[in-house]
Amino acid sequence: MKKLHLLKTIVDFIWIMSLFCYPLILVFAVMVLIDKEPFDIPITMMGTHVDINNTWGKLALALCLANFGLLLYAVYFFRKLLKSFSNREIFEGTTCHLLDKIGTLVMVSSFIYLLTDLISNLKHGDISIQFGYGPFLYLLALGLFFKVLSEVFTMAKTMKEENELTI
Amino acid sequence: MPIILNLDVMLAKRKMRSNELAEKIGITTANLSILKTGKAKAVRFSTLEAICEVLECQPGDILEYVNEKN
Repeated sequence: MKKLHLLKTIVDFIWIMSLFCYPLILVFAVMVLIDKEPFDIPITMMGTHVDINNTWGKLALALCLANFGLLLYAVYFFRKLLKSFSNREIFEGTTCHLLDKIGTLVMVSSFIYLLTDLISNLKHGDISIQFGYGPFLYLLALGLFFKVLSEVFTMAKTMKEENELTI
Repeated sequence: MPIILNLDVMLAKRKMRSNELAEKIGITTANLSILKTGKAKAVRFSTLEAICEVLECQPGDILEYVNEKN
């Protein structure tokens, strides 16, 4: 279980850092969005360059913030999942539920990322079709992986119950 | 479950108590209770063999199939 403790430490670090950073970013973003003066400093959020001097840019920034919030919520559930793993509560209903929730959040986040990417490309006026790997595909695959893992854990839970009730 | 274990009937016929049977077949009273209440999902052949040996009966005397649709 050393690996689990290491993972838990890393996730705890990410969670604590995000808890400090997210409110600051939120306040800063609200101030920038409300301010009528042009903002010349380039902003890059989650790999997307955001130019907030027009409505599309402001919308992209708001979407990026919402996406960050969603991923933070997924990290919160992931911490809960790791905590239940360290308490040896592995094939339980709550574990399956948490995995499903994380999967859904990551999948929604991937679609928001796609939308943000589309908006930031639209405002530049360059509409193009790009093939290849991108964060959208990785996030979508990760979300689906958690969903599949949830189903596998549900099956394992049923098998565990059957094993316990075999006399 | 459409499979019912008539352990109570056989125990009454043999005038044996549950804890006595549990002790003789080597399972806990809690597990015997699971069997008696019909909560069990499966019964091992070894357990069935031990029950039949102690109660001097056939598996068919203990196990019964009841169609739930009727």
